[in-house]
Amino acid sequence: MEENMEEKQNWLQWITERIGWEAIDKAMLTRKVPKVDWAFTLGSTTMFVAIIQIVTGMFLTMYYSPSPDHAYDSINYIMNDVTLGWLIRGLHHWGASIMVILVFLHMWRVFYYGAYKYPRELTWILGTFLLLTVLALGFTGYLLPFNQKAYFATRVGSSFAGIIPVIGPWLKRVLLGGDTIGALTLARFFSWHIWFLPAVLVVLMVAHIYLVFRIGISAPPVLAEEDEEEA
Amino acid sequence: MHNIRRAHSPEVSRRGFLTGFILWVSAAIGAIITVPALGFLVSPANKVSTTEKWVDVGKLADVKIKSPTAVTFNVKIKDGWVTSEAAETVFIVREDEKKYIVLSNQCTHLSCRVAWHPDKNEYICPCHNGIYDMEGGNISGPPPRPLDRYKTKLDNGHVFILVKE
Repeated sequence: MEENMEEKQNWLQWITERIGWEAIDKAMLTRKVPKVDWAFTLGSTTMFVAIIQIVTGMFLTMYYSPSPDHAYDSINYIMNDVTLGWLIRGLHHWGASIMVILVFLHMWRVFYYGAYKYPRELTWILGTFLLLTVLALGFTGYLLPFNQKAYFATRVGSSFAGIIPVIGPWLKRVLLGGDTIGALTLARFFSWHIWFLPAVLVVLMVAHIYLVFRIGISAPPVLAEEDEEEA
Repeated sequence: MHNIRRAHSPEVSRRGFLTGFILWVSAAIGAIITVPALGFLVSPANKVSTTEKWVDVGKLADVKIKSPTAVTFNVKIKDGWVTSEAAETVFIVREDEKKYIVLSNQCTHLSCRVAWHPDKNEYICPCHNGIYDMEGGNISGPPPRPLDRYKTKLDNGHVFILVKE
């Protein structure tokens, strides 16, 4: 029994030695953090929802068909015929809204606690790009069911691009893949939604989280008189 | 003696208990997520169509005796959210005035379509040279069994075969 345990330890050690686990553990898991409150969990909550979105999204591509003829029917098929399809799509659908809410709550915490200040400005800047990426993911994903709501939401959304002076009309055509919302629009929104934007999201997330580990998180701000008392 | 007793000691440290507890709870959560996820992925494979339908493949009188005749008919295919029609071909073979059989044209080797060669009195599969006689029996080549036969019935002089929908 004891010999067995030792073997197990050696086997684990064999791996941890090779991947440099001790350094990873020190930098990430057992790093020192200031005394914080529950508002500090909003960032990692957002990250976990992002992971759920990526995983459920991968599952949905197994059945979804990004063509005007089949998009709506394929989603009906997911909802009614695929084992637990309603659950996987439900998670993705509601997760999308929750993600946007969480991003804003996380920003609110960072803003009101002044955590965006030196030396964390770059973390904040990457965060603003993350916000834009999440909104773009929401906008492109909204069209995919290709029902009435999706169609008209995309019409309104793309018209925003159209009113930009000079390049607006051309930009709108780039966005929609032409003058009308149709096969090209659905295909390119799908492409943005499952390839380009998630890739951007993951790269920005990794950079953002790297900076969190590198710089450490800020302590909650204290009132001036409390600060004096502590000193 | 002392060592043996220690080795079998049921004592579990707080840390050891918590580590094991967390691992088991994680495994349970993992299983709760993985099992439905796998169900989602393999879902279409678990839906086996069992509906059958009688299809009219033409008048028996139109088929000459000892001359296998290819007949094409359409079957409805429900493929996820798409319903389409596909053409299937069968051979009606009359042995004499009364006896007849209906053979599938799918080679039993790897499902290529066989053709009837009247000059040789054989069905020949173009893929790997599987050769069958008029009743679909094996003559030579890789096919492991004779050509499949359909269940048939005669109604008002028309041949009907039982087809999976």
